Amino acid sequence: MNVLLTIIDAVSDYSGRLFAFLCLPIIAVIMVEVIGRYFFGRPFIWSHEMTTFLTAVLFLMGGAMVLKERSHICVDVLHRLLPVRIRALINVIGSGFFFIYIVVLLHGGSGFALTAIRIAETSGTPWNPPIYVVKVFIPLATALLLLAGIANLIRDFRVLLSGREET
Amino acid sequence: MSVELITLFMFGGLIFLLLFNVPIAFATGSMAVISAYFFWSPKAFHLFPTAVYGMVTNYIFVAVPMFIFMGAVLERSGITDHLYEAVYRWFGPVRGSLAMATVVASIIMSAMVGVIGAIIVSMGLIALPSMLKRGYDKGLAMGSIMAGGALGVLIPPSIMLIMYAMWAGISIRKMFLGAIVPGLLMGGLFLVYIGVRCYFNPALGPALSEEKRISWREKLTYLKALILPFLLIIFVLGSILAGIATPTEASGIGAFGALICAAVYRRLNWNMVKGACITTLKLSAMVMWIGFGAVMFISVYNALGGVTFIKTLMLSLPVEPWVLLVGMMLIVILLGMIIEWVGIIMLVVPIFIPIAAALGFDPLWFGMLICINLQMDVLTPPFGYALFYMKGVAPREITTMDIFRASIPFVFIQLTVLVLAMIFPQIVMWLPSQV
Repeated sequence: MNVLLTIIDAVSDYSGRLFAFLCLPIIAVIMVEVIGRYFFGRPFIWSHEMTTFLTAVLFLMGGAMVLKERSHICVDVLHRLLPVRIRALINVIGSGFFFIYIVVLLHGGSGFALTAIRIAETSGTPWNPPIYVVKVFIPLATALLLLAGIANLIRDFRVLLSGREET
Repeated sequence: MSVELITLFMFGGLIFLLLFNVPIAFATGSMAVISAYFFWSPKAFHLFPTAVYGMVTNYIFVAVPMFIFMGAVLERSGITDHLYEAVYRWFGPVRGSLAMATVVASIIMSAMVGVIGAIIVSMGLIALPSMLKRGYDKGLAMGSIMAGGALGVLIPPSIMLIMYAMWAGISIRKMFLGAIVPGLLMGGLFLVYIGVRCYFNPALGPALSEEKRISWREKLTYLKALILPFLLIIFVLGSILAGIATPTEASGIGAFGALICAAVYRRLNWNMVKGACITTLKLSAMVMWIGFGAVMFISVYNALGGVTFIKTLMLSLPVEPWVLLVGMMLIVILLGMIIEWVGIIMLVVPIFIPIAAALGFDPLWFGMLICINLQMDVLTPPFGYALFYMKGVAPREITTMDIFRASIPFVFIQLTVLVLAMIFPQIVMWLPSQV
């Protein structure tokens, strides 16, 4: 079980660290676009869409890392005052709602991405890139969130059983 | 099921889940799924990935991570220390000078970073110890840091203004222009409040002793360190406000310029860039995942007739428009106690904007009132984010109650600005109408 938790944690953590570096190419592409537009009179046909695609992946792929660190914003003021076991119980019950949402989004997102791949959907702009490259990140990011959520649930169960906060 | 019961179920369920410690990003999403399943049709689930795709591929949202990155890099290049040092030297002989310097430095920082945490944490680490060491009243010291930090969400480039502008279909440039006067007015009132209290009771914030005061020449040398970040802000905000560059382009240039500033200050290194990247990823993902859930929630609620229902209900009340305006502001204040600002903007805007339009309110003015209101929310006990960040950096002997008490006078100043902006719309509208 500990091996499983370690693996999931590593996946959540390294996916975040890896995709965080997208910031740098986004800056570079915007700079290229600005230089193209203001110095050469016209932007490159790919720069605008490239910027949004890279940013889309950045937005999606940060979710799991934030969940692993339990930093998704919640109202935890009352929660903090409760005993450890009750807190863990509340987390376990609450995670049911998390799983309802994430499973539906994973299922819907997979269909959404698979359709785009099957029909080789493109964006229809002059550059006309295939847009499944972005769409596949919706189920991928959701799957990573699901994994991080499972790891959190296992930890909450342990706290519930042992009554001790894990360090 | 009737729309009244659906409203009760969806919002009641949402609040219940939030109090059950379910993060807002997932509480909104799961209520959307459950409501769509029972009251609509599971076929509606297909809307969800489409909504996510629509949000993440919006060109305007690129500005969100870029401005976060710019702030994260500037903050890590030691500018806060220089800034605070320079400002308080300038204020030296005035009573309460350190607290005033905190507010002024925070206003300047607010023009570099669009989120609240960065300012409070860095000012809390620099300004708080120096104020406490010189015998400042702890309430005044912490209050000025938290209030100054809260300005970060109102003064452009603010992530909140970008999200609001995007979701309400107003231009970001107009929102930025509209926020400048209320933001500076609020900062000015903070300074007046600190000045007046310390003038009548010097024990709260003693002036710097004679030997700590410095000559004009020295004052100027302190400013030298700030030239680069100042130029960067003027260039970035100026190009947006003048309408030369799109906010996305300006934010990218700002992020690049911040790296150059850091290089000039010899603070540019791999670890720093890595840290800024990870901060950017996390904050952007937090905001966006709340956005996904809230968009799904409100789309389902709208499809079930909820938005029209609330509009009809509100407009059928036999009251003057200003009563409805006050009512909507009170609802935002109440929601602000449990829901984060991103969630409020995404949930409330689609419901309130048609009502505001039917009542003939200017969309920019109405939007700015909501944003001023939400800015107040980050400082309001017991769930204000400013208070949590403050608690994180305050010395151990400072209790949560101390922090709550410290925030109260400043919350009243923020409320004053909100009321002033409601009575005198020119406070918001004057600058946008000039350019």
